[in-house]
This record gives sequence, structure tokens and C-alpha cells, in this order.
Amino acid sequence: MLRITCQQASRLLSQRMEAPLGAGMRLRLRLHLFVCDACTRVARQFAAIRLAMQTLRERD
Amino acid sequence: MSDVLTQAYERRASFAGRSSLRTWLTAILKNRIVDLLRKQWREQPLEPVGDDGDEQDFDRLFGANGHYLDTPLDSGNPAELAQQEAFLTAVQRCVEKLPKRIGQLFVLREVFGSDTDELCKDLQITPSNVWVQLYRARMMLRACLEQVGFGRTAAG
Repeated sequence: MLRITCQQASRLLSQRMEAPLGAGMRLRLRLHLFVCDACTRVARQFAAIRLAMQTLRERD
Repeated sequence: MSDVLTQAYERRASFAGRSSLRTWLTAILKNRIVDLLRKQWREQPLEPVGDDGDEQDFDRLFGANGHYLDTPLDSGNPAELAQQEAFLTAVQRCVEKLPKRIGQLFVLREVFGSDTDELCKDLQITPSNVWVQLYRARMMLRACLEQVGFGRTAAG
């Protein structure tokens, strides 16, 4: 089963910021992001949050 | 803070030429925070969660088919957003609103750069627990940030 839900995809989006995903999960996530605008946005939101923390950390 | 400075002075020879004073002070501060958290967390462990223990947390965001009920906001280019004052202020406010433990874990991860191995060792929790807690933090932050249009609207 290659299809995953947004709920599963969102969790993987966070998990991949911590550790590399296995090949199977990586493929499922990639396929999901290919067809899902909502999760693509969530991926960008998560990235923006991490980068903002980096900016704040470097600032003081 | 003053004992950190005293320590820094006493051990000044050991860091000279190796790393900047700031890096060194940050390391001390991190160790002190980890010590403190370790003590707190040992006395009152974070509730363990299983691999799917978080599912009900954010269930209300998703429809029966597992898709988002409300389409997440398009926050634009992450790198550009992360330089904007309004967004940075909003992020700070939202981090402060996180539940205490989750906020502490998130700050250790994103400010002090602790990775999963370090967090597991320092706080005596499992990798899947670390990941679930960080997922929760990020989901709460994105919900909080959406309320202020990801820094694009006033207030917050």
C-alpha cells in the first residue's frame, strides 16, 4: 500500500527533520506530496519554523 | 548567570584558541539547562507514547479520509519568511505558548541543536517519543502561527 493520509504524511514530514526515513516511507511521502497541496504547504511551514529558530539563535 | 561567567573565567585557558567564547558559554548554558531538565524529567517523566499514540491528538484537523479539513495556509518561501520580523516575533510568541515540556524539548532541539541521540540520552526517553513530541510541537506551532497568518497579519 503506497497511499498514505495527510495525517501520516504530516508526521513523516516532522520525523524526516530528525532522522532519515526508510526507503519505503520516503517513497510514500514523495508520492503523497506530489499530489497533495495541503501537505506541501505543511512542509514549507515546518521548514519556515525551523529556519526562524535558526535566525533567532544566531541573532543573540 | 554569574556562576557561568565565573566558570568561564576559571577555565579560560581551556577554551582559548579552540572555540569562541560565545560558543563555549552556549555549551555551558546548554549543559546547565539539560541538567535541570534531566532532574525535572526524572522526577516526573513525560508520559510515554507508543508509535501511534499521537493519532488522536490532531484527529480533529483531519476528515474521515485522513485529509486536512482546512487547507493549510500558503506561507510562501521559508527562507524569506524566516528573515521577517513579524514572523520571528510570532514564532517566539507561539513557542512561549507551547506546553512546558514540549516547549523545553523543542528549544533543546532547535536552539541548542540537540539531536535525537542526545535528547534520548539526556532526557531518558525513546526516539519515537522524541519524534512524537517534536511533531506535536510543530503541529501546535503551525496552528498558532496560522492564527496570525504566519506573520503576515497584525496582532497575535
